[in-house]
Order: sequence, then structure tokens, then C-alpha cells
Amino acid sequence: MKRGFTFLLVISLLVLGLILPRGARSLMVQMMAFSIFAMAYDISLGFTNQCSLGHSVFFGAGAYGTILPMLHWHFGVLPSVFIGFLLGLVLAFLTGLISVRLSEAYFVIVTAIFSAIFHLLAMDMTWLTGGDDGLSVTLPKIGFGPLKLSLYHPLGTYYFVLAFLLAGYLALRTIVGSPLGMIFVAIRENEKRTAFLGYNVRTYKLIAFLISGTFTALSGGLYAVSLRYATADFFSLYWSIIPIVWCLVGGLGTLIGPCIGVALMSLFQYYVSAWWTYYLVIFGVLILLILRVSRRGILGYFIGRGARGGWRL
Amino acid sequence: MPEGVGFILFYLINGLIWGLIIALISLGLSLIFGVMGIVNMAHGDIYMIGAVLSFYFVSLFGNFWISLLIVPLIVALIAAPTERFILRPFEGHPSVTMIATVGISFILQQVALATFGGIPKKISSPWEVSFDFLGVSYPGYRLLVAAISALIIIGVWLFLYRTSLGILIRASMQDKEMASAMGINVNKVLIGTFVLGSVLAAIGGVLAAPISQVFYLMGNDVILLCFIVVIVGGLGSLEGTLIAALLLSSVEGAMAAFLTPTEARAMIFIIMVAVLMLRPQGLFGSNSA
Amino acid sequence: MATLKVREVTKRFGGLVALDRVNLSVEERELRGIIGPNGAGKTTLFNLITGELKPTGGKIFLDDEDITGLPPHLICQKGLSRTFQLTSIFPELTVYESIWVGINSKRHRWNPFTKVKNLTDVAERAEKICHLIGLQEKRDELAVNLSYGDQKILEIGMALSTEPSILLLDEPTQGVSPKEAEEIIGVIQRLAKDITVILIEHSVDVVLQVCHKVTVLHEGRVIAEGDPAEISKNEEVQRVYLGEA
Repeated sequence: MKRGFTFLLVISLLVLGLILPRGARSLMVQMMAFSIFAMAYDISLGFTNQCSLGHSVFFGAGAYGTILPMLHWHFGVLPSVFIGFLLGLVLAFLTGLISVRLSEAYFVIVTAIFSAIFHLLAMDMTWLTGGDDGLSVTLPKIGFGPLKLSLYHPLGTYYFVLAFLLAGYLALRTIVGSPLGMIFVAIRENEKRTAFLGYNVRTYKLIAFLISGTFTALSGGLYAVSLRYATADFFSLYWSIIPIVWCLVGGLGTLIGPCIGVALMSLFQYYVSAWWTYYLVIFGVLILLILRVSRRGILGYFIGRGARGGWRL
Repeated sequence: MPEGVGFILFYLINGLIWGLIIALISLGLSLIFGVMGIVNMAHGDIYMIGAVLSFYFVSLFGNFWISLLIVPLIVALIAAPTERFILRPFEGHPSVTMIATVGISFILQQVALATFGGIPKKISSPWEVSFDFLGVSYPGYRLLVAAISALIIIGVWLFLYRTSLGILIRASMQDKEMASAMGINVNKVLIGTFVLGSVLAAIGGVLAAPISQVFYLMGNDVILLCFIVVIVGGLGSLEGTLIAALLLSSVEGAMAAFLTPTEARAMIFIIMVAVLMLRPQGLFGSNSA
Repeated sequence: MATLKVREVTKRFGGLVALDRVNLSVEERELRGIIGPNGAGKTTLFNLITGELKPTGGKIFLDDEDITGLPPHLICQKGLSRTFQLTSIFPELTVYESIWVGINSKRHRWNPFTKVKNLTDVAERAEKICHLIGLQEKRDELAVNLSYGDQKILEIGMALSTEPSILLLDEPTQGVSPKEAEEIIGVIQRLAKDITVILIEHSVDVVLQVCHKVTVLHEGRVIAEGDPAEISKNEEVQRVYLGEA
């Protein structure tokens, strides 16, 4: 049943690329890139209960890690995306090393400080980042032997990002269903008990943070590729908060939930921001309302009343 | 621009004066966390609301000092129901309170943007006097701000150590279960603490309005420094917060003489990381924090 | 050979001395009871042995290896496992999953490319423990939905799942019905045939009834040690402890 649903979803994503009109397709591309971010963020918040406000660091780093090699050294798209991914890994390791050993409140605050400092630096170092105006790039064609894929072809970007979304989903799904995923959930449920069952909790929290940060960077890279552009704004706190909103709307502790959250919130933003400048007020009210109903998010609330989803054995 | 010793001194004093304002705001942040476990992401926005309201009062009555009296009252009236009806169910869970206060922060910022507008505005200095020493001319209002902040901090200290509500608040910071077991009126303590903390931020905003620009995002810059201060000082430690605020702001102020503001802020950040490596609970924090 | 040795262990909290030069030797496959009035330092002793707290002074040895001040997960890896006075479980995991997590810890399996259900050796062992603690029928229930007594039993099962050589139980029958208490005592007696069990209990009757040897703590000091018959006759124990009720 669940497998059938996933299959159906993949087919419809493949077909949608062909039939959607131009505007809707580019919104779809954006949603797919964000879905990777949302799932990655949930590995941190929903699976190991690490409420990070520092993910904009990885998102921005992924974007610049992907744009800069293309801009300055004429790298291909794929190697550039990979460099963005690696940059995310390195930064997640450095920030994680400092923050995973802290208590919950310290973790929240310190990750928020990381985000703010990186944003300040990115705004300041215009020679590297282009500051608020950002940097634009011309995307080279991607060669598969004699075949050349141009991301300027209307369908090129769509299927390029879709391929990464599917690969990312499969990778994260494998991790969540593995013993490692089980340990993550145990840490979320009761950190102390997990330590007293013989697990080095810090190490596993760091691993979760690394996975989360790295895939967030991948998402940032793909988003930058789809826009052919990166700006220092990608480091702003907004990009640390928006994944929390996605996960809360979609439901914590699952992989599909956050993607649903992305779809709902992107549509919401697309339509509402057009007629109301101050739509972030609705974000604020929404956050407070959802937390009042359930701390596991909307989907988590409904799942919690019946059977559980996601990580079930 | 002045030179030599006076030059450094100028920046150092500037830093110290900011340090007193930051100490005021951070004390509120630290109190609110210590008593109710709220990581208040909206604290900087309350500071902003203080400055914005002050701007309105100044343009309405033409007198800055009236705003210094009325604005904290208005903020207290907003803070009390916010704590009781919005934040109460989330208290004690740092992550959840953080997310909830981000929601409140969005609301406050957007309301300010919608009413006040997105363009930074200035309030003219309410005391146009300047003092000369060591060849440096220093604006009198800033010295006055330092004096007022110091007085308020002393007042807060006396309140926390001498009045019955203050002692209850400190008891709740040490041991919440003990406090409620002793029959302390928890409701009063919670609302009282949140109001006190918010009022401190709002006063900071009013005092800072004439020396910085009034802008709907001005809270973001301040909350960053306040967070660094409470992390270095030890979350929930009032002494630590005070010392860290004065120390870090002076260091930042002194460095501003040689570096850009961003570089100076990055230095403070590096100090914070170094402190965290050595003492994950901050300089004055207890192990359990 | 003694498996657990506590030598001159002292713990101070500020000015308060919680434990004062405590000595304890527990033999292999012993069922040891630790009793004492509230605030005697029983739980503090467990916290020191299992690494939750570091002692102010003294040493703790497991099979002659110094384990003083090691972090909890390493002490667990060396074969010491515990339960908590306030039950500590995984609320949203099933009984089976909770035990699975414990078993997996000793086998160092975290390979992200295998599937949880493909680890048959872990699965078999998990089924076995569910059976041993008598929760096999509730194996797919979420821990949070169990009765308090069953949660206490589950926690013993979880502690057991790490294959310990010494099991420390902190008031396993506290707050449960008499019938459930009887079941829990039954489980403990079955376990004590294979491994060493150290039991903190508030109920003196239970300890005197099931334990081989009993240690009495009072105000952070060991005031008596011996078999149940000796302890129930000991005058000092009667004065500070039994007489209190």
C-alpha cells in the first residue's frame, strides 16, 4: 500500500514535468529542491530532536559552493553540485562538533548565532558572495558521453532536480530504515536512556547533524542552479526558520510529511504573498496554532492518533 | 576624528555604554530563560517595539522623557497576556519555546513594518550637550544613557534580592519544584518575570532609539549580541550575564577602533566559540543549565 | 572473584556529604539488596557506579578494571546496566523496538545501508527477551501505552538487553500494584540465576525475602552488611531503619 503510493507519486512527478505550464513547473522545481531541505532538516529535528537554527549556514554554503566553482573555474554543473555538498559536510562537521555536546537551550541559541554570524559575514564579503545583490552564473551543458543536457531547456532543470530529489529521498529513506535510523529515534525519545544502553549519544547526534547539514547543502546547490543565482540572503535566519515551518505543517519524524509541508507552504506563499505583503504574520500565527495542537506537527498529530508512520519496523 | 589615547578611550566608552544597554536587555533574556525555560527569540523585537513606540511618542508629544515612562507600561500590558495565554503551555521546553517565539517575532516585525514602515528613522537626541575630556568631545546623552542603565540594573538587583517577589523569582530560578512545593504563587512569578524581562528590553529600546536608527529589523542585530552574552556568561546566571555584557561590549567597542563592525562582531563570536570549547555551560553557568 | 568493588567512595554536593567512604563488594551471581531510609544515598551510589555522577573520592572496579568516572555508555559497554527510580523508557517505541535498541548497542551495528529487519540475530535475541520478561504478547504496544507495572518490567528488559554481567535495579517495585510487584520480583529472581543483580528497595520485606546479602546505608555510610537473618536482628539497623516505621 505504502509502496504503491510512493510509486504513484514518482510517476505523477515524472508526468507533471511534461504537462505543467511554465510558471507552475518552475514553482514545482523550487518545491522539489526545498523538499530535500525539508527532509534533511527533519533528520535533525524530527528524528534526533536537535532543534537547529543554523541550517541556513548549510543552505547558503551549498548554494555558493555550487555557484562559485562554475563562475570562477568553469567547473561542470555536477562537479559543482558535489563541491557544494562537500562544503556542507565540512561546515556541518565544524559547527556540529561545537554544538552537539551542548544542552538543548544552548544548542538552539548557538546554532542561531552561527546563522546570524555567517549571514553578517556573507553580507560583508561582497568580493566573494556579491552580498545582497548576489552572483549570477551561466550554466554549462551537462555531458553524458555524446548526450548533452542543457539546463536552459524548459524540461532540463525539472528532471535534473527531480533526479536529485529521488536519489536524496532514497538515501535518507535507507538511513531511516537502518539501525542508525533506529538509534536516532531512540535518542529523540530518551537521550539519557540511550546513553545508558551503551550508545555514545554525542557521536550519533553528530552523525545525524552531518547527514542533515549535507543534504541541506545539496538542496541549496540545486536551488541556486534552478535560479542560476546565489545571494548572501540564503544565509539569513529566514532559511533556518522556514524548514521548521515545513516540518511543523507536514509533520515531524517522517520523510514524506515535510515534503507535503513544502508543497502546502510554497503554494500558500505563492498565492498569498502576491496580494498581502505582510504574509509572514500568517506564518507566525500558524506556528503558534500548530504548536498548540501538537508539537509533532499536523501530520504527526493525525498519525499519532492512529498508527505511527515513518520509522516503523 | 580624535587621535591617540583619547581615540581608543572614545571607542572603549562607546562600547561600555552599549554594554550597559546590552546588559539591560540580556538580563531580561536571562531571567526569562532562568525562571521559565523560554529561549525568547522575540526578545530583540520587544526592544525594537520599545524604540518604535518611543518614536511615536516623541513625534506626538515632542518629549522623549514621557516615552521613557509610558512605553515600558505599554509593553508590560502586552507582555502579561502574551505569557499567560500564548507561551504558558510551552514553558520548560527550550526548543518549543524557541519555535513559538519565532512565531511571535514574525508577528511583531510584520506589524512594525506595516505601521511604521520599512525605512529607518531617527530620533533627535533629547539632551544636546557634549562633554570634553582628554581632547575628545563626547555627547552627553550617551553618558546619561549609561547612568540611567546602571541605575536600572541596580534597581533590578535590589528588586531581585530585597523584595519578596524578587526573592521568589530567584528561588524559582534555582529550583522550580522546590518553589512550587513551598507554595509559591507560580502564576504571579511567571507573569512577573516575563513582564520584568520584556520591560527591560523595551527600556533598552527607548534608550537606544536616539543613538541608533529606529528600524523594524533593529532587534535582529541586538538579539545576536545578547545571545552571545548569555551563552558566554552562562544561561540563567544573572552575574554572568552582567559581566559578559560589559566585557564583550567593551572588547567589541575597542576593536571597532581598528576593525569594521562585522569584523569586530566576528571576533566576539570567536571568543564565544573559545569559551564554549572550554566550558560548554558558559563562564558562570551551572552544570545543569 | 568479586565482580564489582566500590572502594572508599565519597560524594559531596557542595557542603553536603551524600556518601562517605562507602565500601561494597558484590560477588558473581549474587542477588544483593541495598536498603536505607530516604536520603541514605542509595540512588547516589548507583549514579556513581553507572557513571551518571563522578565521585569526589574513591575508586570503583568492575572485574578489577578501574571504571571510576567513565561516561555512562562505556560503563554500559563493559557490562553494567541499570534501571531508574523514575522509569526511563522510549515512550513512542514499541516494546520490541525498545529491546532491539538495547541489544544492538553491544553489536555495534549502525551500518546505514542495512535494514533493521534484516538483522536476524538481533531480532531473535529481542524475541527471547520479550519472552523472558513476559511481555511477548505486548511486543507491538507502544511503551507509553503500557501500564506502569509493565513499563517497569520493560525497563528491566531494556537494561537486560545490553547483555550485562551486573544489573542494577533502582526501586523496581515502587508505585506498582501488589500483584505487579510480585511479577516483577519473579522476573528478578529468574534473572539472578544467570547474572549479578543489585537491588535498591524501599520495601524491606522484599529485600529480606529474596536477596542473598543485604547492605544497609544510613546518612551516606554503610552501617551493616550481612545475610537477611543477620540484618533483621541487627540492633543499629532496627534503630535507624526498621524502628522508623
